Amino acid sequence: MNEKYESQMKKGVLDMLVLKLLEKEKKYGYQIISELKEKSNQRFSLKEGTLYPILYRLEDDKLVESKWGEAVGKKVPRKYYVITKEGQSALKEIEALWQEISNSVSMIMEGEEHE
Amino acid sequence: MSKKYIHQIGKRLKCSSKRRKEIEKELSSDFMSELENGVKEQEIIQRMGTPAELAEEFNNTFSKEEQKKYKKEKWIKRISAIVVGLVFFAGILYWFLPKSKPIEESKLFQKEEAKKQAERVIELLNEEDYKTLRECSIKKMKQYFDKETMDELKALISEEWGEFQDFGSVYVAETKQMGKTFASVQINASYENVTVTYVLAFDEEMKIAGFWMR
Repeated sequence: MNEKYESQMKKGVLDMLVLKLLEKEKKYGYQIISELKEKSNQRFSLKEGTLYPILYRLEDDKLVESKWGEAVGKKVPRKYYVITKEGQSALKEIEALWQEISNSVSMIMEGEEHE
Repeated sequence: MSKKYIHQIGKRLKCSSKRRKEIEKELSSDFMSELENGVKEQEIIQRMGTPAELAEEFNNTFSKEEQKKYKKEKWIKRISAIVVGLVFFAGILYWFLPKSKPIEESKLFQKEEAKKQAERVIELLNEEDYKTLRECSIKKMKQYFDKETMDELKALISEEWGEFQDFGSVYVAETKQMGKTFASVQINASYENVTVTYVLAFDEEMKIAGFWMR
């Protein structure tokens, strides 16, 4: 199968997944990349070039905020992304939308199978 | 290695310098985090992609505003590079050009002293005392003061000068060139068969730093 189809399909849900990972706590970029990879059984292994534009867009839309953390000892300073109140409610709406879309898709796909 | 890699990405980004710096900082923070976790540089680079690929991914997502800022900053950079270049060039040119002022305004040189020194040099030339002339010269000028070279130069003006007669009109000025200050003396000397105009430049120690005759 052409890789294009897979990445095209994933693209639509990435914003939602990133917001979801930030729902409970602040995270830094590389952390989001590792968690996505781990929790999806490697299905979503994002590159920085994919993740950061998403984070910047979410930030432009005021759904997340970012802040550089203090460098502790020899550790590298990290930029943390925090979900905003607006982001929280947007996430709920997107999740609901995803359910609807997912149901509609299932209906079509299953309907086609039965015919 | 990682710094170079990040820089290679940064210079390909088509966004405002503010955003570029932010991206560079963030990428290098990720890079360092992975290094701390024991991942090898080569593996990180392989995962992140080549600088061109990574920059391309970012470039495809920049807003219109970011792109506008990028273009504007690029023009400002270009124009200021040209301006700096021109100012530098003008400065160099000014530095190279000799700048003269009347000897009376000079804080370094006395007119009478410069005139006397010029007359002394010409007398030494007339006596063909090149050893003393070399002693009175800066290093660069020493090579010209020998009998062979001088005879050739003199022959360019006239084969037979004749005996020295007298000094004619004198003009003295202070000249600044390439960060150095000289006293320049133009003096006429008449010989039996020719009149020669000497132009001599002396440095602050009154050593010969330049010599022309015609």
